Parts: sequence; C-alpha cells; structure tokens
Amino acid sequence: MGSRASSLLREEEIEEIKRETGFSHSQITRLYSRFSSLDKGENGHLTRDDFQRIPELAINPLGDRIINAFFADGEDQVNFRGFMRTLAHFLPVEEGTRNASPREALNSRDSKLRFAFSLYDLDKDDKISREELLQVLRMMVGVNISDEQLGSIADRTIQEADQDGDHAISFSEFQKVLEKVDVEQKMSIRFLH
Amino acid sequence: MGEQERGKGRGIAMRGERERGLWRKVQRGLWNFISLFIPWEMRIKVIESHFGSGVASYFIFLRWLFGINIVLMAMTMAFIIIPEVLAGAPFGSTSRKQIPSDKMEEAQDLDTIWSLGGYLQYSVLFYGYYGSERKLGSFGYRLPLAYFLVGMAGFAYSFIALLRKMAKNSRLSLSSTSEENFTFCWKVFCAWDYLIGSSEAAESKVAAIATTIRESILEEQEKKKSENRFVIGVSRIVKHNSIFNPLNVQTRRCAPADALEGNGPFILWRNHRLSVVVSLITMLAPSVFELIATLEQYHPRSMLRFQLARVLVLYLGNLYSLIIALLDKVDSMSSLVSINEHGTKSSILNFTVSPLGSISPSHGLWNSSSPTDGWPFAKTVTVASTAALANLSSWQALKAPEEHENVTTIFGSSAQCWETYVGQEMLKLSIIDMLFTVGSILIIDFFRGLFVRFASDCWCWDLENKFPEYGEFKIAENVLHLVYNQGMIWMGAFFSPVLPAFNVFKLIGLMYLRSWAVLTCNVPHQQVFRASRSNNFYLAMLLFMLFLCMLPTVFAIVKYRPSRDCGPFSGQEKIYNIVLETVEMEFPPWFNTAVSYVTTPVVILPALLLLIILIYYLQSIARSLKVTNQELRMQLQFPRLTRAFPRGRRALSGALHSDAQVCATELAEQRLQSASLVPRPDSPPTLSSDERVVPRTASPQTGHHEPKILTRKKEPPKRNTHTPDLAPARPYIPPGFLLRPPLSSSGKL
Repeated sequence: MGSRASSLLREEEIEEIKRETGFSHSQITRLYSRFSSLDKGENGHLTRDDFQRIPELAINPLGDRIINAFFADGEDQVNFRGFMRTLAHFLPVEEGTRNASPREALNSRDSKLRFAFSLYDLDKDDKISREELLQVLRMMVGVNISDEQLGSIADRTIQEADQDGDHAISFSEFQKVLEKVDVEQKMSIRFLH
Repeated sequence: MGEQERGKGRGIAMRGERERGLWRKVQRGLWNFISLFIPWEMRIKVIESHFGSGVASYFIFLRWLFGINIVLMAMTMAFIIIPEVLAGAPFGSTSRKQIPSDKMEEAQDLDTIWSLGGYLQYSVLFYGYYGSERKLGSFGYRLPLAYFLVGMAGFAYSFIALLRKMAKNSRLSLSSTSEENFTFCWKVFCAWDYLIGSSEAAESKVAAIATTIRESILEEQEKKKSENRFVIGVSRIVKHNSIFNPLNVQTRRCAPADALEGNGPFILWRNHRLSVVVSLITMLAPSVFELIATLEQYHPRSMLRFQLARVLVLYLGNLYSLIIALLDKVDSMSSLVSINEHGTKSSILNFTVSPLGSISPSHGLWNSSSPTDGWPFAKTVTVASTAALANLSSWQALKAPEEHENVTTIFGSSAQCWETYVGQEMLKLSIIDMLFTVGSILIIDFFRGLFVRFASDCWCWDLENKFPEYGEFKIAENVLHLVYNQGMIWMGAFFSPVLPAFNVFKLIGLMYLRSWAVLTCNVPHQQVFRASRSNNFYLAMLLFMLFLCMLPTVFAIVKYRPSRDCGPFSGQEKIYNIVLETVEMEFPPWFNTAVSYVTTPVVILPALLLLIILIYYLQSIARSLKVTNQELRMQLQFPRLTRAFPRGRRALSGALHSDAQVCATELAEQRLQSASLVPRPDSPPTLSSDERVVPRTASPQTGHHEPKILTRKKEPPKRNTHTPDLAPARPYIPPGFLLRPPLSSSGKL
C-alpha cells in the first residue's frame, strides 16, 4: 500500500497541488495516505459511500451536503486533485498560496464563505431560496418541529438577511449576515505538517 | 534572494505559530482534564438538550448547593467533629456523655432511634456531646472556641460564596455583547457543531437545536403579544389580595394556640387543627396562584418568578411559625432551668420524645387524597407544620402539668439540653423531608406515569390527554424546595454539626433520583422559555433565606443562656462569652484595652456611617458605569445605523465630534425613530442581550449509558390549529418519551 501510494503520486503532481492550494509537501503526502485509506476500491477515486464511512460525517445532519461539496457537478467520483481542492478551503488564512493574491486564494475568507454558501444553495443558482432553507432546517431538527413553524422560521431568516427584496439570500447578503462571525478561525483546520 | 528571505521569515513565523499552538493545546488539554471532574456534567447536558435551559437550571443550582455543602461539611468535620472524636473524652466517661440510667432500657427501641434519642443523642451528632474543657489533648486544641468560630465562619462563607456568585452572574449578563440583528440566520446557518463524533451527542445536539428554536419562537411571540390592560390590571389586584388573605388567616391561626380544652375523643383533631388549616392553605394556594398567573399573561419567565415569590412567602410563613414555636419552647426550657435548681428527675424527655416520635403516625393523616398540583407541596409543608405542631403540643403539655401536679416537669441535672433539642428537631425535619421527597417523586411522577401509560387502554377516558396526564417538571416548586432545605441546614448547623454532612448525601441522592425521574417520567413543558442567563433570582431567594435562617441562631446565641450541663459552652452566661474570655486570657493586655475601645459606640457608630457612605458611593459609580456601557454599545451600533438611515448620517457624524452624551442621546432617538418607522415590513425586533442563545456543544464522552425510557405508545392526535405564525406546536417526539399531546396554546407552564 505504501509503495503504491508513493508511486501514484508523482513529484510534479505534488508541485502542482502545492501551487494551486498552498499545502506543504508533507501535508500533501499525509493527506494522500488518508485519501488512499478511504479509497476502498483502490482506483484512485472516492465515491459517496467512501465518505459515508467517516463516522462524523455519517451522524452529521448536513453530512450529505458536505459530501456533495466534494464532487463537481454531475460527477460521481472525486480524484485526489478535487479532494485537495475542497480541503484547501479549510487552510488557515495565514498559510496560503504565495502566488495567488490573497483575495483569490482558495482559503481566503471569500472562498470559505462561498463554500459554506454552496452547502445551502442546492440548485447552484447563487441564491438560497425558502425551499432550500426549509430543507436544511428539516435536516437539522428532524421531525421535532412542525412544518408551518419551520416555514415561519425560514421566512424569518430570509427577512432578516434579505436586503434587495427578492425573498432569497444572495451571496452578498450571506456575507453580510456572517460579517460578525469569525469565519477565518471557525472554518480553519490546522493541518499537521 | 527574496524567496529565501521570505522562506526564512515564514519558517520563523511557523515556529512561533507552532509554539502558540502548543500552548493552546496544553490549555485545552488541561481544561478537558479538569472538566472531567465536574460532577454530573453529561447528565445535565442531556437534560438541557431535551428539556430546555429552564429545567437544567434547577440541576445546576442543585450542583452548586452541593458544592457549598461540601465546604461546610469539610469545615465542621475538620475543626469540630474529628478533634472531639480523637482527643475529647470518650463516650461514657462524663455524665453528659452517657445515656442516663433511666433511659437505658429504651435506648435501643426503634421509637427512640427514630426520634434521635438514645445513642444518637449522646454522640457527636449533637451539640450536647461536646466537652467544655478549654483545651483538649496534647496540642491544647481549643474546642469551644473552634465550635463557635466554625459556626460563624459557616455563615460567613455561605454569604461570601453566594454574593460572589451573584456578582459573577450579573457581570456575565452585563458584559454580553450588543444586540444582534441576525439571530435567526445564525441559528439556521451556524447551529451545528461539526466536532461531534458520537451518535448520542448528535442526538442531544439535534434536540438542543430544536429546543433553542422553540425558545426563540416563544420570545418572538411574547414580543408581539398585545396587552389588554384592563384585564391585566384587575387580575393583578385580585392576585395581590388573594395572597394576603390566606397569609392573614394563617398567621392568625399560627399564633400560639389557646390551651387545650381538656381531653376527649377529639383531642387528635384539636391537636392537629392548626396544621390541617396550614396544609390546606398550602395545598390549595399554589393552584390558585397558577390560575391567576394564566390571567396575567406575563412572559413565562416572569410568571415563573411570580409563582416562585408567592410560594416562597407561603413557605416562609410556615418556617417562621416553626421558629416561633421552637423559640418559645426554648425560652420556657431555659427559664425553667434557672427557676428550678432541684435535682429531681424530670420526665420532660418523655414529653419531648413521644410527641415527636408520633410524627410518623400523624403523617398518615395527610398522605390521603390531595389534588394533583399540590402534591409536592403537601408533604414538605406537613412536615414543617406537624413539627411545629408537635412543638406546640409539647409546649402545651408543659403548661398543662401546672394544673396536674402529679406530673412534674422539672429539669434535672442530666436532663435537658435545649441546644441538643433544637439540633434534633432540625435533623429530624431533614430526614423526614428526604423521605417525603423520595416518596413524592415515586408516587407523583413515576407511578402516575406508569398508570397513565398502561391503564389508558382500559380506562373510560383518555388518560394521556385529560386528567392525570404525564407530569411536567415543576421548576418553581422544586427550586423552592431546595432553598427551604438549605435554610433548614443553615438553621440547624450550629446545633448539630453533622447536618451539612447529612445534607451532602441527601443532595447526591436527590440529584440522581431527580435526573432519572425527569428523563423517564416527565415530558417537556409546552412552552419552553430560555432561563435568563443570570440566574440571580434563585440566588437572591437563597440569600434571603440565608439571612432569615441566620437570625434565629444569632438570636439564640445572644439571648439565651447555654445549658448548664452540656455542650462546649456550659457554665457561661452567654455563648459568645467564649470569644471574650479567650481574648482576655490569651492576648496581651494592650490588645485587650484596644479591643475594649473599639467596641464602644464612639467607634462603632462612625464606622457604620462610613460603611453607609461607601455603599452609596459605590452604587452611584455602578450606575454611571452602566450608563457609559450603554453609550458605548450605541456607538458600536453606529455602522449599521448609518447604512440603514443615510439621511441621519450627517447628523450622526457631526455628533461624533461633540459630546459623547449628546451622541448617545441622538443615537437613542434614532433608534427609537427607526423602531417606530419600520422601514421594512415587519422589521425584526431585536432580542435583548441576555436572551442570546449560544447552545453549548455536548461534549462527546464515551461510556455514557442511555437513560432508561419508556417507549411512546400512540401517535399524537392531530392538532388542528389556526393559531398565528409562530405558535408553539406540541408534537415534540423525543426518542421514546412518554408523550403528552398538545393542550390549548395558552397551556400551563
């Protein structure tokens, strides 16, 4: 397994990933071994079932959404590049790519928020509508609260955040809601070196 | 070159980062380790997630009281009990430490043991056992002085701990940040804790989220409620009247009763007439209060507080009737001692033991039918009232023999210790209270739940929806019971040093029993409201109780003469003389003169005046700081306001350069204006700061056993509702709880 792993990950690939995401060499190799351990089919790709095997994701009500975020549109598998690209969102803000400008790096505050936004925006139309919020709420609280109440909560949420009156939350409104929240700290994982 | 430098810089920055990270890791590890020792944390978190923070606050309060009692127990054990056991004269050596010969035969009777006589009376449990030698053992340990000082220190510690906790709480509530506008958004987007790994913790978290959402719904509802002023005004007047009337009746009847009118078949009724009235009042009154409370339409939190306050007044009436009776008895006992110096044997012990020993049969009278809501009350009240009654009746019995000369009740040499008597009373009260609590929990919650659950199949009406239903956890009564219990301990701790230790075990048992009962037999309230973050209300009640319960002890110390033949202060005029004696004998003469100067009114009165001035000064500082705090908070809201109200921007920016006060008032006006203008339809009213909910994450711990829960039986009946948007719905279906289907939306608390 070990030899296979190192053979599948070539130096130039590591360099590319480093440039794109900002991870360090050791981090990339470590994450690659994690990737391989998750990859039960050993074909270099992860499927949704592989992710479901992680217990923390399995019990998370929003686990499906998170898993979805790894997969690009319409795809059923994610390779290592895609895996790293998604994980790069969680790099702390100080450690980032040197090449890209701070704004556009994958771990900037903007990108983090965009990632979070995509968790809620199912149909990817750049807006969180009432139905999407309802689905999220339904997932979070289960059947404990009635539908009408959840509907009122969704309405109330949209009311609080909506500024242009289109009864949906756009990305900029989402940003404004979370401007007081310390997103850089909360959405960061200190990857081991 | 540039790359290299940057690389090096990066390396150094990394190292610093790593060190900081290491320190943070150490801190977190330490905190994780310490929090393992916080008792019952997981239990309380589970309860909080299923039942809301109101119910959990009861358990947190109980845990805090447990801490206080542990400290008290440590103090009394270390400084009084253990020295006496180790270095004092052993049992049987002196006259006060052995059972008098006429009591010997019955010393092992169940009756005697139940009323704490016999071997229990002549043991370290009570005041009377302690020797009065000034110095004990080879170290010269001053036991009497220690006894007195520990008694006072116990009160002082309780005061200090209580006040510190209150101060910390109020600091918490003041320092919480400014009002947020995005509460619901935050709840929706940021509620989940992604670090949870165990499925139990995940369940708790889901329940917690559901609960906080329901709480927020309720808060919003309360804000929208319009007040019908007339109804509320009338109902408040009615309420106040209806409190004072029963209290009047009670106090009138509680005045020391007339002498018993002879004997006869109805003596039992006459004896217990007083406590029947008292128990009836205390059983019926809380229901009446609740009825009135529903008319008043306060916020549920205020309703709870009013309920608490009213019931507290009732309890206090009870308690003080007991104290008055006790003090009367003590008065008569110590005055009789001074009158009669004969060495004739007395049968007073018989009098004291038997009426008290007859507490248990008399309770049989009150355990019969009682209406539903008053049950937890009846038992605690009847305990106090029958104890009071027993004292009264024994006091009556004291008076009666003046007419019957054949039974003389004169104190003998080894006979009576009023302090031991008081200690016995308190300990007995505590024990009986514990038994009744256990009984009431089992009967009222558990058996009722079982009955409703299994018998509703074959019963005429739907048991789960109508009459008995499942119990809700009554926060008000239970908190009050805790306060009352603690008051008992404080009253009796001076006379029975083992009382705090007994209370520690009692609280442990209570915690386990109640948490089990809540999870198994209770359903959540229909309306959950968020307990205010600063739980100062409970603490204020406790402070009040502490003050009241300290008074009788201090009064007894100052007024009564200690018994001549027992206890560490025997032979003195007053109990506090021990301190004066020690000061005189042990300290150098200049100290004595200094102390005698200090205790003259010339020094004390100015000191008092100074204290009052200091209090006033500190109060005014606190007030002005609060105002400043408010202004700063306004200023923080600045950016939001300027963006929302561009036309006010110029005025606002101009105000920045001027006096802060003017700025604050302008901002305040702007806010008022904004609130009334309502630029958007239904602009969300902001929740006040201490309602901000930060659901604590359940710490994932392994090895937590699942609470034993009876599974839900039938589907909740469909609820047809036409209530407005954010009405509280009932179909709360926790995993396997006994379920209680929805009542009307203005259901009871």
